[in-house]
Amino acid sequence: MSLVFPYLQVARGRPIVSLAGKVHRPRPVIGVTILGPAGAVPYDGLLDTGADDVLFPEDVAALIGIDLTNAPQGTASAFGHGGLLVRYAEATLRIADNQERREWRAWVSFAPVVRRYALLGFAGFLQYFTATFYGDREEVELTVNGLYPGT
Amino acid sequence: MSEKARPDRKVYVENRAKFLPEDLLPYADQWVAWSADGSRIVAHHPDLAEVARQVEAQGLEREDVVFDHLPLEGEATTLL
Repeated sequence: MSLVFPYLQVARGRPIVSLAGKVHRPRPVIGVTILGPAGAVPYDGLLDTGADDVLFPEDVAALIGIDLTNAPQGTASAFGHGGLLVRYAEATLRIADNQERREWRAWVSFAPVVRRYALLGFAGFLQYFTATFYGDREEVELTVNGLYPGT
Repeated sequence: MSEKARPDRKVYVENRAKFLPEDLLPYADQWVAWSADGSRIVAHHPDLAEVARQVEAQGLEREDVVFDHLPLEGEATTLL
């Protein structure tokens, strides 16, 4: 079984030169819900094969009841911020399409800056799936692999 | 914790695609909560916790919406 997600279509408002005049930017952005002791936050996450970790804004950690005060820390280079301090905590991630739902625990990094989407990188996310990006259909298919730890 | 069936992601994508960057300028640099079908913004505020409070004040649960933070330009039209 696989989960299939259409790319998010972001309206540009005028023709995009690099896409031969298309007026929407297709992006491999899927719905992902992050859950903690104080509840859930549905969010949009960018499937990013160039990202090492899963990254959410710190504000989201607070909202789902994750205290980052004594959390393990690291530094990252991301979106123009070199040496960005990130803090790690375990959280539950959930994705679903019309046919299938997957939920697992993962170490998630939280940063004090907000970018356009959560980043769904290797550790905690892409390591558990075979991801097929269909450029023609503007869809992505995720199939769990043998490392997948969840339900 | 409650768990609700969400609308088809395709519906969310189709509705979100109707919003031009200029439509989103009033919400620039704010947290927003999109309706689950992506057709409207149900709450917005610079503080995420306040957006969550507004959502709940409307009788919705957090899982009835999609949280998002819009950039200064309303929408990031190119990601590199």
